[in-house]
Amino acid sequence: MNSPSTLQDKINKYRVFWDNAPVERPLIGFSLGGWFPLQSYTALGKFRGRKGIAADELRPEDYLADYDRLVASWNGVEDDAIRAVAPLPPFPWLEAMLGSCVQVGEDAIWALEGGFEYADLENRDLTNANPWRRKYLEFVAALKDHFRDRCPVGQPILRGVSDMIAALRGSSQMVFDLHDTPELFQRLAGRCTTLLLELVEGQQRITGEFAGGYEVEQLTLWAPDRIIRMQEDGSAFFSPALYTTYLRDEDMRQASAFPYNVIHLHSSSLFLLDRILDIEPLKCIQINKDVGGAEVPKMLPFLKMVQDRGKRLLIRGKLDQDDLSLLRGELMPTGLYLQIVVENAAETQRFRDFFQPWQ
Amino acid sequence: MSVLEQIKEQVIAGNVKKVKEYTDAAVSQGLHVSTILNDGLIAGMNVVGALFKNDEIYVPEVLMAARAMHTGLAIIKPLIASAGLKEKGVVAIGTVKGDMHDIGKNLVIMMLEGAGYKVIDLGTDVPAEKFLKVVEDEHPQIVGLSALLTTTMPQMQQTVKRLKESGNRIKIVVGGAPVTEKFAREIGADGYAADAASAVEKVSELI
Repeated sequence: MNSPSTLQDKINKYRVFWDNAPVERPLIGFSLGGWFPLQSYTALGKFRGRKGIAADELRPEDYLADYDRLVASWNGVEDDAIRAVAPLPPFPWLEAMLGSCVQVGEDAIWALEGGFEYADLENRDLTNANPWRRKYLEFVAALKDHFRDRCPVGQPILRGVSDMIAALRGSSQMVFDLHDTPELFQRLAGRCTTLLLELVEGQQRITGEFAGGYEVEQLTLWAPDRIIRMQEDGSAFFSPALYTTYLRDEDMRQASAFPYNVIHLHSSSLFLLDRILDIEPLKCIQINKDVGGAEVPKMLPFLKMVQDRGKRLLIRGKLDQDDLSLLRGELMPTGLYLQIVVENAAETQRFRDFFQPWQ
Repeated sequence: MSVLEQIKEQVIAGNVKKVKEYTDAAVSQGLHVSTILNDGLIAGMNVVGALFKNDEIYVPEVLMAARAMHTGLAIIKPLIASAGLKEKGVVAIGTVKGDMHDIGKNLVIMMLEGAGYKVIDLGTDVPAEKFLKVVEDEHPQIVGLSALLTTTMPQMQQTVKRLKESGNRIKIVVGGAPVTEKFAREIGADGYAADAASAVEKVSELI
């Protein structure tokens, strides 16, 4: 729960972050829970092993107990974050809207890759009549109604253009398409961007403001106006030149459509960072420290590059004491947000030192 | 430029049409299939592998080259068996359970096949049991595990453990965007490959 006594204080800190104003220490928030979505949203368990789910099979009311449990788990966490709920964050909503088959495994849920023909695009109804789009907005409305002013209903993980197309066409075929049928790729990319923009706008029309702003759920990132979370995990399959030709305009369009924005990146896409930073309206770059992925010292030049270019930087991951000490010594606290992934509230106590002024 | 150099150059350029044209020409000229394979197709992929390893080219260029190489390979495949050429070894490879990403795995497969290995593609979302079964049935010397999602890395660890416990004398190579050499060592893999070109080197080192 976001306690009212501290809410205003938290909002002030987020404003300072977005303003890139001088601070003594960065914003620090904790992300609680494990990596596996079916452990958090237990009502999805009935679909385990299923290949193919219809939108009508999901009912928001079946998940409210999971959401209540999630919100209760926030109690006792002392940090700067305003936490939100979101329509089933692990669900591949956009891919389902575009016609992908949704598969549920033991712990994860994903869209089956491939099977999409460009000719199918004309037959896809991506308007509000699309059953998955309707279902998504139904979840938004149900969550808003259930939680009201207790917490915001934020944007969940919605995949980026390259991710959606990789899901539809298969990642290897997507790359071949860039060479063989680039005009078809571009047309699909444009439709994917439009769908993402319309969906987030539609969500925010339903939720309205929370404490005068809007939120990105996964990143516990509140902003004083409308915000969009972007991502291009599939950009790891592009070269810098292909990114610039085929994706950058889409990212530019997304970033320009909202007064606040954040793009989520893994270390596998950092070779594109320079090109991404050229997107002038982009305000915040979120970089993951992935389990088993690039270590913080290796990522440091990229993290500094973000700050040097005047963008806000959000680092998310299982950051340990060494990581945090290194970041404290090397990065400016201004415009910096550290989102530390922990298993539970008790684990957060180990990080109290980093809430002191960074000198 | 000889027809073999043309094949090599067009593989590097990723030009499917030209590789087909020059491979057909090489066969028509009566060049031995092993010469076409080694001095044309594989020679081209070797250059691509080195460029990729040195960050001089990116994933799309490697994929395009691999596709072009495969076009040439398809032309000479019927001739390979009749010429009595044997594969260098057998590798079974798959993306671990819960992970649907295939691009890294496909790249490795194309590079391995291009280097003369027989590859058994287990696909994506492969449970440990399926890896164990292919080891029992097909007796590969190497098993390759790929993962793109950090969330599926514990599954990679689990699969390595199961394969090791099975007592089969296979070597395990792991790779994928989030996988590091440190992680590979920690989970008991025999080898780690940072990219597709390194995977070929690692396999040839372990066989």
